[in-house]
Amino acid sequence: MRAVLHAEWTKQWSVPSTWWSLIAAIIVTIGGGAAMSALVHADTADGLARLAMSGVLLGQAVVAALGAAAIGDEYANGLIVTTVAAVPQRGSLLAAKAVVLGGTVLAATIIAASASLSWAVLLTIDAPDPQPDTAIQTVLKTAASMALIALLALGTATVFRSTATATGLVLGLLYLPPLLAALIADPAWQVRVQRYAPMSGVLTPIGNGTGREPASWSSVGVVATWAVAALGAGCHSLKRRDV
Amino acid sequence: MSQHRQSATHKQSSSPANVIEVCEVSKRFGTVTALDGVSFAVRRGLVTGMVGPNGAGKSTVLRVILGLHRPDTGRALVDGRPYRDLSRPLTRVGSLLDASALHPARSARSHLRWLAHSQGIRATQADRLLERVGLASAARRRCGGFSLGMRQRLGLAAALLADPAAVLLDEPFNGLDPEGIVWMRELLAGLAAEGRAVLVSSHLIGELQQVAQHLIVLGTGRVLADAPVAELLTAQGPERADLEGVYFRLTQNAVRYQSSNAWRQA
Amino acid sequence: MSFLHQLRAEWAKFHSVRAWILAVLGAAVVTAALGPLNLSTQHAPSGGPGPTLVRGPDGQAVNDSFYFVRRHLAGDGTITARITELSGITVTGPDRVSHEVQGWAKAGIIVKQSLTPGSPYAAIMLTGAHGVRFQDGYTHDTAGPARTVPCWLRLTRSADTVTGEESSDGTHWQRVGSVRIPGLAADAPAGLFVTSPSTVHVAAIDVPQTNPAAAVATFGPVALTGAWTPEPWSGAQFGGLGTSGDYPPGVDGGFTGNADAALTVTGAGDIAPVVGGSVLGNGATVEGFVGGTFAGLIALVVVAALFITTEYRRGLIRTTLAACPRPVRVLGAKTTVVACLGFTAGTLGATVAVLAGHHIADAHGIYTVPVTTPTLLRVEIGTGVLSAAMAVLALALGAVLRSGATAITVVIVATVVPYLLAVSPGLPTVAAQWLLRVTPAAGFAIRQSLPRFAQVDSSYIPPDGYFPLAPWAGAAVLCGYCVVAFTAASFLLRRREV
Repeated sequence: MRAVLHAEWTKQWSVPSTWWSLIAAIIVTIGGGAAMSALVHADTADGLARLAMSGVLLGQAVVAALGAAAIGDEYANGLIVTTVAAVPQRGSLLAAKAVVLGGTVLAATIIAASASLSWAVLLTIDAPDPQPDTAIQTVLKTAASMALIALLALGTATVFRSTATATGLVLGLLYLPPLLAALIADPAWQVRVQRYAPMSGVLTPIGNGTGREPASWSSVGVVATWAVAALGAGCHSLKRRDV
Repeated sequence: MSQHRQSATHKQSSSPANVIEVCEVSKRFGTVTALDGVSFAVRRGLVTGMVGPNGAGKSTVLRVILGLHRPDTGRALVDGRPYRDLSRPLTRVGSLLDASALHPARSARSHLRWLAHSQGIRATQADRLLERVGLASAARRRCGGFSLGMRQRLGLAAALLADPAAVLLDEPFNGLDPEGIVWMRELLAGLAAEGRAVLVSSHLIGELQQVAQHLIVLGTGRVLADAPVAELLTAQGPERADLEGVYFRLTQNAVRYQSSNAWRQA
Repeated sequence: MSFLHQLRAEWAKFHSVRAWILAVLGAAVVTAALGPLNLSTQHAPSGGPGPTLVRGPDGQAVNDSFYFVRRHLAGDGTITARITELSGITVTGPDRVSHEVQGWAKAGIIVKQSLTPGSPYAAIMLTGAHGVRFQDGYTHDTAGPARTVPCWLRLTRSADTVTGEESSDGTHWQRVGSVRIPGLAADAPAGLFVTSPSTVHVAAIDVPQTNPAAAVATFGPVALTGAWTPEPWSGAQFGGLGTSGDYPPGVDGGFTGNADAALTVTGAGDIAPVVGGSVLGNGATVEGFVGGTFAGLIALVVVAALFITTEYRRGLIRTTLAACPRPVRVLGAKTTVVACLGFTAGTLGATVAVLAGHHIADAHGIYTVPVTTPTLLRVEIGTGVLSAAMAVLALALGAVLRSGATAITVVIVATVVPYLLAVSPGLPTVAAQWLLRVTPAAGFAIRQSLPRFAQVDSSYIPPDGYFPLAPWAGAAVLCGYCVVAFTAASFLLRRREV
């Protein structure tokens, strides 16, 4: 397993698109948060954190595309044949990809989210600063959700064997529930749709239902469930299918 | 081929002669029967050629050996085990199926390095192999800009990276210039001389004639012949030592995709 | 190869990939199904079916509620009245009431075609802050002089033509407006009316707040000439309270005094078209029916981007350009193919969605904000235009970026995220409106079905379904993006080596 991890690590970092994607994810996450913090007035610590994290609304799309590309590009250029010939244990292969991708996105988002939050605290004068442990939790929840979104995309791309299709599907899963929920008048359904959507773990000014309860670890659990389901489906089809 | 003398004959001791065994393998894709009870073995120290017309099942059988396709019936074994059970498979079987299967933005060196890592072998091996296939000067260039010949060389480097006991190559002569073809023939002969099992598929019998000692002829998913080249030539008769004639006689009723007569006469 | 040949070639290329055809069909299906499905999860508001909206003569949702002090005019005749006082009773906070009058509080003279709510009318009135107006048909508003009390108003019926006049002194009259009301009843209800909409506060962040308000007007001596039926004046609240009217606690509609001297009338409600926002409550809108467009758009964007980027993947583009060495013609043909498919899928999907939506809303007892037929057609065709434009944008960006996933991400993020931010409460209204002006999300304006009116104060903000741009202007912004992307793609295709 160590060898597979090492190989996937080398593979991931030896293409420039990984660098560009991560830089783009970090920039849009920080930039979106900074723009919203500058535009919108926050008067509570929670409101401030929400505004600071709004860049995630953009960053998650970049991260999803990165996750889908992690395996989808191999299908596109046929490299998957070489990869599976080198590592015929397909479950370990997908696991290694998930670990490398998840770890990378986690680290990048921790940087981006901490920077966004610090910037928002510096920028806002009338809202109380979040407690240090709340701030750390916010950053960790956001980073965990982003990493899980990348894994959701990885699993989806494994099932569909296409980066583009998987990216479209995952972006649909992320952005459609809040859009469709806005059309639902029944508040119970609105909350249900928002709570069980993969975006529920992301703390943003929108998308956490009418109650606007703060994103909790249980909503990170919802994203984790989506990611695990996608990876499970991906692993199943990777094992069952001919390459 | 003095440069790879270091590993010569190192794998012959105490292991069975057959590195790869294909037993009664059948595989269907929808309504097309790609392989129909194919059995053969690939022996050490020989270059085994696999020929057959387009659609005979040459690539499919290679993919079955490499665990990329699951056979409907039968099995393919590498050192007595299914490929999927091997823990560091590239140390047993090196393969080149599709030379253009590369990430266009990754450098040749990085491509070999991640493969080396996946087998737990030293990354310096990558540079050694690039040197050996003549790509050292292009090691840090993006693969996307490589010509087909350069891709074949890189694919070969990947196949030989982990010093495997067996080498499977699908159409390795494609895209090579005359100098490259000669180089490839010498390389294959050298690999066999080191005691490795070499399986080379080609639809051009002429290319194999000069390098293969053993020949497997496939047609519409069946093994039509599996014999030493010398034997096939003897069967043809002493006066016409031409493999091409053997090939056409064997495959005349086993061609899946055939152009119409009108076209051939035109 | 001529453009038509190239078009045929590209269409052959498209329809030979079964997954793409399925995706386009899927886009049409989700566009058609998601909105109505969404609706079917919804129950009629508790306490029976919601308020049924009154439809005006143009089929539009209207409010037709006011305090009506009336008699009947059985033929030609006039009614003249002086307004000496117009004030209001407005709730300004918990247990707090002010005497401020609403800007669009109305007091004046009205002739209605019949006593059916939503029937045609003509009225001359003094408003709280917008002077004298002549209004008819709920949406037509003609401004007169900017007067305050006291002022004289006169309404004249001659056959089926009604004319409104005003005067500052009761001797010099000035015509404000005139309208023909076909089928005006022989004994048309006519008389004095007072009405006042509730207040609307649009805060930057919160949901718009409404507070009850009523208007109180004192009419001087009322003079009648012509064929008035001999009966006493009778007063009643006409047409309930509508969506935008509410009496403050302890206040009721009514009238006191005597028409020969002075008559004081208290009323609330409005005579105006219904606009969107919180007043609609659980109501369904036509854009809600076509809400599935978002899902359909994602499918179309993916297919359109793949249509060009798969050519790059295995070098097929070389074959394509060898067959047609003019890259711009190739791009044009591809664009035409995806635009036609997007338009067809969007229009068909939206048409089915609108039909199904109305059906389901009726079956579930949910009221639907009525819209005029041209609006309905615009929403249906507009969904097609939106789908076509998004597909073209994805195709052109795919040609520029040569990566399907990147093009898809950019298109979806650039359209969906601004839209999502703008329609969710939270962003300041100004920021939300700018997002819907300058980003490709402006294109969604083409689906807005709720009209806006100067004579109705409301929260015309994106979360309520009001876009800062007119429908076709919004579509033009999106098409502008398409043109820019197409130009960039043509330029790059010509310049770049394949």
